[in-house]
Amino acid sequence: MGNLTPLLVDLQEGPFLAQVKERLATGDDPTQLINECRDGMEQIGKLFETQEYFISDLMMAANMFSTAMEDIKPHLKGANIGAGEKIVVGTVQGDIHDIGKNILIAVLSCNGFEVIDLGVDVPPERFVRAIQESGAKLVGLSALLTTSFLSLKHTVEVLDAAGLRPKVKIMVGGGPVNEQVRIFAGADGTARDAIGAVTLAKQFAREVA
Amino acid sequence: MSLELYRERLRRIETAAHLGVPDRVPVVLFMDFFAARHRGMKTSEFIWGGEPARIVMQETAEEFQPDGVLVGSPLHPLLMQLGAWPTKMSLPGRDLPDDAYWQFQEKEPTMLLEDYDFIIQHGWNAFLPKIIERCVDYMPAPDVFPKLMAINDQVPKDTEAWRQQGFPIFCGKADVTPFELFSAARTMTQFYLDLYRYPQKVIDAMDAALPDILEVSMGVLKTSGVNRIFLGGTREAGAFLSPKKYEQFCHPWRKQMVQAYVDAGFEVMLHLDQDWTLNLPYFKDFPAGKVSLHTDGFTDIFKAKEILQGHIALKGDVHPTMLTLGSPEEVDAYCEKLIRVVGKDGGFILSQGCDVPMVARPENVHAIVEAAHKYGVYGK
Repeated sequence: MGNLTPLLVDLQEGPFLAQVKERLATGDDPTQLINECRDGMEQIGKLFETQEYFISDLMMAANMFSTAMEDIKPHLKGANIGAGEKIVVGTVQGDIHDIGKNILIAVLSCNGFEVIDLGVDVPPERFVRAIQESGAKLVGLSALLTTSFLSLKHTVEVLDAAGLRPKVKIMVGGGPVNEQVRIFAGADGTARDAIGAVTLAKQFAREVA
Repeated sequence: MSLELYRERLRRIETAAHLGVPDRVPVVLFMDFFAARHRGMKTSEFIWGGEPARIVMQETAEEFQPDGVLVGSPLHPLLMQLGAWPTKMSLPGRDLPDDAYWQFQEKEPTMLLEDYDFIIQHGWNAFLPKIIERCVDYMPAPDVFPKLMAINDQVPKDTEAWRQQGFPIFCGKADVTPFELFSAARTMTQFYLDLYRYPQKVIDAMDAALPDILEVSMGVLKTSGVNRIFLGGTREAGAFLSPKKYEQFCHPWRKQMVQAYVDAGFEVMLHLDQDWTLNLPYFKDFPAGKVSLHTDGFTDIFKAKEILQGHIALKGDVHPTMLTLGSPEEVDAYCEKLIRVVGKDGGFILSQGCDVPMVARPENVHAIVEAAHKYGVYGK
């Protein structure tokens, strides 16, 4: 029996995906495979924090993980892989940039979060609906343009008017978004990169639990 | 009077760009979309350029009184798509409100995996018709190259109009490395995966594209009346790529481009968005005194001063967010720090990071210029 963790950490896509298929074919426990992948992603997160790994490495790892999950999922047959904390994520109205948001989603998913991706140019009302329908207590608002700062603020205001503000933790992020923008928007937190955002999301998940 | 002022400003800017100590720290601003918003022109009209757009930029410069401007006219969507960002665009007035920024649609690749082979065989210019077919959806394909020629023919006239007004233009043409072109055309995610999956294909295609990019840019630059190229970059930054990958996929081409421009008698301004702090030591490979580095508030410009002093002039870097949400007092304090530290012993041009945001507070833009007069006089 192999171990997926080092292959994922070393970004060896071919051998990694081959081993996933091989072990599924021989009846290995799919939850074990997922756990090995999550261990790998945790190590990659640490390597990112120490600047040994970079965004492109994260993107490659997340892509390997999600491809593996597509193979693994049909084998789960209702097995409990641990219900992740739900988080609603989207790029705010007026902004169609999705790269930063997608990096965040990939890393959140690899860390066990259940991401509800609303896409780009998302009106505030759609955030309201998604939170109400999913019961998510975490929200991630993405923006790349300086002209979107108002949209971030407006989205937070609409969540407030809908009575959701005290029930959710709101994170904001994207190119020019910093602490100054977080304060302007009235959000709860911001992070410089996707790994920082995951750390923050984990912290918020504990707080809303 | 204007020409006298022009010469005085040009001397101030170029002294700093060549690592010298001018009479005062010069201010060069990039006011494009900001100018449109400030003067009440819809961006849906502004982006198509022409004299009305240039006049709006000139009126804005007249009001704010920098020493120079980064470019002399708006970057037309065709220049962006064929020279910097080969994707479809969402345009104000068509897909977006009349007063919005344009935005790049990077959801689907406009360069397919097999296109690497095409570029390796035929070069970048031969690939442009495919880019036009896949990206340009606002004019018929046969009109694209005549329009491009007309835009390029306009550049020297714009340069002269600015000169008559008393404002030097810092860059006469903008381009990017093959890496940046491919990363937009393939989509950033897909392109980064290509670096792991097909490294040699990427390298060979960048080699094949480079001579075409240089030939086109130099042709335009020669007639522009300005001696400096704006060489952009975002996705090669240490914020995204490891130094090892930067060495493998980025630096050799950036270095070749810089050297080729310098060999041809031009100078280079590296316009680098995002955090390039980790890449700074590599820039010592560029010819001393011929390159300036414009950062956008993400790269540590103070670290850049430590590493590149006496080799590369620095330009920057009031953060776009500070210009949008900050106060004039904050801008003033930050500019004072920039002038005292980065401007020490010359080689520094005070500027915004990237461009002045459309929604920047005008009083913050005034604060940049005022700070140069307050704190930037040398020998006082």
